[in-house]
Amino acid sequence: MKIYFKNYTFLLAIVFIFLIGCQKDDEQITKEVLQEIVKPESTTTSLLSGKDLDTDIIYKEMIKDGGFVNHIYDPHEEPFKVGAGTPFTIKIDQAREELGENYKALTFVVNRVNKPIYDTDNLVLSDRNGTRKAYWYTYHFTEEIYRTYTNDEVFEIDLPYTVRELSLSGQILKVNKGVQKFKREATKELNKVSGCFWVPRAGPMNCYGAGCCNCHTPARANHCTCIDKGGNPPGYGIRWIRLCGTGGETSSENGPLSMGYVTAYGEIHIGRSPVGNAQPSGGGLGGGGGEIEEPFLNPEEHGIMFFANVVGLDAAQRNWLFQRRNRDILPEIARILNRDGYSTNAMNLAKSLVEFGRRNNSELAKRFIREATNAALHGTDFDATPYVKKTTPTRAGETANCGTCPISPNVDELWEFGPGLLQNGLDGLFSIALAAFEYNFPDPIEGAFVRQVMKDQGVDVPSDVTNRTLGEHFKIRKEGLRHSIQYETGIGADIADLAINVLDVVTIFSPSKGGGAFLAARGGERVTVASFRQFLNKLKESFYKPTGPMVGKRIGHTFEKHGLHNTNLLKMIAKNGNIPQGQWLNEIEAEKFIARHLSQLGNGARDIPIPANLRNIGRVFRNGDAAILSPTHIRLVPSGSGVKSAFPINSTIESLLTLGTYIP
Amino acid sequence: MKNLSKKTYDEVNKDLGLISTSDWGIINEDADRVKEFIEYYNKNADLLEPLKKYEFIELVISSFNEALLEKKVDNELEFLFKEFIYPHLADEDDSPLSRYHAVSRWTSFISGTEKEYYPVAFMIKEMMGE
Repeated sequence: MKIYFKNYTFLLAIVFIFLIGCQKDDEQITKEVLQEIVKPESTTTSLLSGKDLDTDIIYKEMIKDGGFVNHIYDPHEEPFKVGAGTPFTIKIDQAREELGENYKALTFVVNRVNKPIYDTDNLVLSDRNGTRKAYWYTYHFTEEIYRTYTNDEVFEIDLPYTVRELSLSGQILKVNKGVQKFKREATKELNKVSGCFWVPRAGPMNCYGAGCCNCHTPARANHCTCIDKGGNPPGYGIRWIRLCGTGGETSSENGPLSMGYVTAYGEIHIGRSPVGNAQPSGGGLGGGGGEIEEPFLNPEEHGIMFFANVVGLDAAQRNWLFQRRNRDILPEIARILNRDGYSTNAMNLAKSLVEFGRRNNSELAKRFIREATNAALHGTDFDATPYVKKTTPTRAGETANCGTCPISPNVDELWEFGPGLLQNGLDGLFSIALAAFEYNFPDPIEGAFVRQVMKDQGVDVPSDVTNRTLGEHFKIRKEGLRHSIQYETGIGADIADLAINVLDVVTIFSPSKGGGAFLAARGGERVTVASFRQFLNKLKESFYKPTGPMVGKRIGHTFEKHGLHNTNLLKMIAKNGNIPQGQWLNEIEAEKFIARHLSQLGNGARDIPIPANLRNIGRVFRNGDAAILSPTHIRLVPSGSGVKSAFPINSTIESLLTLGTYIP
Repeated sequence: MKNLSKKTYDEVNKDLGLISTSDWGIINEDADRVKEFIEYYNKNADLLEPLKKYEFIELVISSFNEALLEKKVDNELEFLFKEFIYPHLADEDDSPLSRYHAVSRWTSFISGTEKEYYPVAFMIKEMMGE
């Protein structure tokens, strides 16, 4: 089945247009009466559930407490019971609602006695300025029309119909016959993927079994609780299944597309069936019987139903999409679904876009949906500028006064971009987007936001680093009511180990720089997380190696753990533990220092006092808060020819071992 | 579920007769106590804070490395060590203090002049499948 969305006129609108020009006879209802039914402009459309109907005034006054009460379809009885005066029953588990200015209409599916196989019937109840009207429509589908409707060919056919004006007690007052245009355009293919069809498939829901209801029903009896015993109301649920294959095979799943008829309910079903079973009961095997029980939905709305069921929209999302003003997002989203073969990611994105639109109807939000969809579909760049507020950087955590530290204590390590930094950086729209998307942002979009936030924080990401690359390596996460930018899982720890700042990172990504060019060459067109992690691991292995007097001697964990590269790990250990952590800031001088004092290590570890002018050789992170202190001693832990480890300590916060003697 | 109170740093030191110091796992390493350290960890893992687990992994690996250097590793000890290490390699925590990182950082000794002092680095790299 192929659906198109844009600029498609409502089914009832077509009815109206057609009838203006159709031939009149004595049984025709008047133009004015038709206008009561057809209110094509400025209306909103929703699907109401049976529960919704319980509180609906038209339903209550015209059906439940009105003249149509005897026509309510009772699943506990025969579905073809003949009500007083009019041979149809009304299914009240669902209705289509049209709302306009001083106008409201409900459309119901109805069952009819002796109904031809392809006919479908609706009851339309309307209220205009307090005047109630009732119309019974019968659409005279044919097998050919249904077949055409469910394949992907362009078509335009005349669909015959009969409309009867009813009294409010169900008596037929007038009858009119006519035809309406029923067509589909060539583009906007929605549901045909790789030779497969999505077809609707009916399934009994809740209490619908002969075992407790004693009525003609499909199987699944004996597993339900009747409604009078606290069970749920019975009904059919529409499910959508994907049928593939060329057709013509004798097996059920690949049988030809066909239609069937469920005797008990008089409903049209579409599905696969084995060859030779041209008119299978229940629509055939494989399809199991695709049920089209909402013929009052025009093709566009069928598309929405399809979309809602496949993607898994909830009722609120589906009804939002039913509104005419919101439908124009569907064609592009449908293309994403098609292109990605209905992958989980594509369906999550589609659902996220709808949810985002539902939560925010501003023009900016619509622009966001349009541009985000376009970026996801075509890989075009996405500009996040309109959606991110400018902020003044406010760094989370303490600011260390490091004096002569050779590195800035305020280096922007994104690992530490805490919630406080970004809490004001994202406006309400973006917060809504985050909540709606549940982190299903496509990389190009997430990357665009990352770029904008980084820019606001003073980090100009090189222009040749694409949003996709940024989106692959960074993620935006919500922490309580705040947000932060984090590295993608798998590289955060590596970057923290290396203490490289975000500018280093994005420079590495940049294809015009050495690292980016290297990585891009290895990873194809872009720098992947995997290749970047390999790169970081190489960097990690490149912590300071002795080049002076300690060459050939064991240096152990001296620089592997206490080197200049390892700021974050040392700070975390100090902050979370009971022991201070020392770090070398001048590794070349440290190597010389260790070598000069090796001779004192014959009897175990020694703490060597250092003069004031050598205290910038390293620093100590205080346990508990990781505050930075100057070192007073160097601890040397011997091992054979060298040391297992060596690091700065501060005697005011750490007990000293045996003291050594400082050698200048 | 019973809420177990965590072991303090001093309690662990007292249990094992170790000293309190920076590089706790390195300075307290003991080639003859690898099995004892592993058994203590396994028995008390639920009582150890994440940081202490990180340091305990350092203690076990450092001790096992010394055992390798002193040729004190038999098949049973190697099996015990690998059995101890593998679960930590499955740690998906991305923090620098993750148990995965506590193990994987030792592979950095493979390159450079320190590799002769850290045979355990090669064993870990092999266990990581790299």
